[in-house]
Order: sequence, then structure tokens, then C-alpha cells
Amino acid sequence: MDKEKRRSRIPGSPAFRIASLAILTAVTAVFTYMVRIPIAPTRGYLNLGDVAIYFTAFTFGPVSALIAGGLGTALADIISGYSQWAPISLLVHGLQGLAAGLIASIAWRAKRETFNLYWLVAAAAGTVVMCAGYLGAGTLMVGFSAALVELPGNLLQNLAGVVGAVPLTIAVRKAYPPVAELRW
Amino acid sequence: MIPTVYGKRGLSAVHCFDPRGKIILLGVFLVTFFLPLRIGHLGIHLAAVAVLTVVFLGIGNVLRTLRLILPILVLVLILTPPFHREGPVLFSIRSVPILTVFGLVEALRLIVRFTGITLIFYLFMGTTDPDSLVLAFRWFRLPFSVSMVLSIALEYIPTIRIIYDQVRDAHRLRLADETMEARQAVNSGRTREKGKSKPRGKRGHRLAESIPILTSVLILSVRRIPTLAMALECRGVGRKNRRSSFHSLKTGAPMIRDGLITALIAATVVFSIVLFP
Repeated sequence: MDKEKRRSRIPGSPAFRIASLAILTAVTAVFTYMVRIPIAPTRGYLNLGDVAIYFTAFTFGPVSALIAGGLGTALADIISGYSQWAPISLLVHGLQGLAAGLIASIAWRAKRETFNLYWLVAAAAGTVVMCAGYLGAGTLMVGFSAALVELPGNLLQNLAGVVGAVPLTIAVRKAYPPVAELRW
Repeated sequence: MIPTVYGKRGLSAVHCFDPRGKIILLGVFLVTFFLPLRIGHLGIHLAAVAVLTVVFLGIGNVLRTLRLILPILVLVLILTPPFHREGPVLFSIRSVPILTVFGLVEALRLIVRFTGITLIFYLFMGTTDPDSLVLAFRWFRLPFSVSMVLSIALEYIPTIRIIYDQVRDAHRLRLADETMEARQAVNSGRTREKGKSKPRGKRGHRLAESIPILTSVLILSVRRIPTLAMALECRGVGRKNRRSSFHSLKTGAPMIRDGLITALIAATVVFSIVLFP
């Protein structure tokens, strides 16, 4: 009982915010640089960083998704040797998480905690922000034509993120209901 | 600890250089690579960065980094010239200019820019450990809470990585067990029981297979949040008289020496841009 009281009192405190952001940042980083799914035709990889970003946006809200998404993917870029993309990831994935989280929080406020249309709209907004962000940043770094070639890969990555994040969010909420209390 | 530092750590001057100075120089070089300078000028900057990177991080590490960006450099070389058709034509097909001098220069400019940015970031990150980086950002007035988030996340990344490995191995064992059961059933002439999952191929359903693993990893991770929050509260985080604080970076003579070197290099770069635009 005391534990439950304590747990319900903590969310919103600075210590709780720091703890949740730190853990979610670490999860996003690990999902981005460790969990890779090979794509047979191109011998490339899909990373699941977007799964973590959308999970954070659906479950923890826009601010958590902004910070954890941005910092987590930037740290993953640094760790995996692509540090030149870290500032761009910080900005683009942060904004992706913010956009998705803002729309998903409408559903949260309406007490619709299971899968709903808002999640899809949120994911679409996140996809647009992410693809546009990488196209803009890529144009600055390597020119428009080369940045455009990356666009289908980014779309596929986002699609995998959405397809993974929706069942993951539902599964986590079902298997661990107290996760809803961790939102601040 | 996450291995992000390469080369002979502790022995090289760049490894020991003040991270605050490195951040300033990183900014100066980044701006330089984006300026509309002559291609020769940019090439000299790239050569300087490349020499420094080879000296302090070793040729093997640099070649490995360049191999990572090689596909994108090839794409830039192939795709950029057709979009810039001004100037004398070098190559054309049926009077349609494919390669012009301007297109080639533009492609080279983008290649130099991207290679330069990659190498300068590699030199910076490969010689600076993440904790020093957080301290340096803290010196540049990064808020305490963001610094704490970064610092704790860096500590937790290896932990969550271990959790992921353990959960993945456990799931693999379960799948191996199911596959063995299925084989035994086929050998003994029995059909698969209803509700039992099919043994999956190597390439199929990768994302679907990873969902149960990711679910377990996420639950194990988010369950740590309240405990970590209590630990931080016990350390006084969120109170005015908090007991947690960050180390400070070195001060005194080493800071002044590194500061002067930073100023000297930055001034040299700025003067070279002003004198030879």
C-alpha cells in the first residue's frame, strides 16, 4: 500500500522526470543501435529506434518523446560511429517524437488508451516530420539528389516503426498496466 | 562503459585536450565546411583535418570510417552533376549535357564537405569520452536536469543492452525448444498441435519475432523508473540543497594553455577564410 502511494506521488517530481527521461533515452539508444533487422534485397538494415520513439509518444507523451527520441538517437549515432548525423538526429527525431506525442495526447486526454485513429494520425505526422527533416538536413550535407535517394529508406524505416510500435504499446500496457501511471 | 574513444587513449595530445576547446573548434570547422569557399580552400581544410585524424586515431580507424560513408559519396558523385548543367560541357549524350565543369565542382564540394564533417566529428568523438562531453556541455550552461538525463542514460545503455541480450537469448532458447518439439513430432508422424507456433525461417517475420523480445525489454526497463526516481530523490535531486553534483573540468594552467591553443587554431581558420575566400 505504501509503495503504491509512493509510486502515485512521484510522477511529476523533478527526480521522476529525470529518471523516466534517462531510461527512455537509453531504451531508444539501444533500440536504434542494437536492434537491427536485415533487409534481404539491399543488404541494408532497418533499426527500431522509431519503434521506441512512437512507443514513448503514445505512452509517455510529447515532452518525453521529444527529449528521449532526440537524445536517444543522437547517442546511438555517436556509439555506432555515425556521429556526423548526431546533431541532425537530435533535432529531427526529437521533433518527430514531439509531433507524434502531441497528437497522441489528444487520445490520452479523451481517455482512449487503446489503439485508435489518433495513433495513426500521430504516426503519419511523425513520419512527415522525420522524412522532411532528413531531406532538408541531407540536402545541406550531401545535396538534394543524394538526400532524395535516402527518402524511401526513411519511409520504410518509419513504416516499420509504426507497425512495430502499435502492437508493442498495446502489449506493454496489457502486460504491465502500471506503465500508464508513469506518464507525467 | 560505452566504447566511443579510439586510438592511443591517454597518450595523444588531442585525447588530453580540453573538451570545451574541442567543442569550440568543432563548431569553427563545421561552419567552415558550410561556407561558400573555393574548392581548393575547402580541400586544404579537409587535408588538415584528415592528417590530424590519421595521426591521432590511426589510419585503420580513418579508413573504416571512410568505408562507411563511401556509398553516399559515390551517390553524390553520380547524382549531383546532372542537376547542375551550367558551364563548359565535359560529357554529353545526344546533345544533353550530363557532366559540366560546374556540376563536377559542385559534386566535389559536397564530397569534401561531407567527408570533412565526418572526419571532424570522428576526431572529436573518437578522442572525447562521453562523460567529459557531458561535463563540457554543463560548463556551457546545459541545464542540470538535461545533463543528469544524459549522464544517467549513458550509464543505463550498457544495462539495457545486457537486458536485451538476455531476453533475446531466452526467446531463442524457447524457439529452439519449439523447433525441436516440431521435428520430433514430424519424425514420430504426429501433426503439429493446434495453437503452437510454426518454426520460422531465418528471414521471415523478423519484426513480428522481435515484438515479444522488445515488450519484455521495455517492461523490464520502465519498471526501473520508480526505483531510479527514488534513488535520485534520496540524492536530493529536485531539492534546492541537492547532494548530487557534477565533477568540474580541469581549471588553472591546463585550461589556459588549451584555451590559448583553441583561440590560436580558430583565429588561423578565420584569417585563412578572410584572406583567401
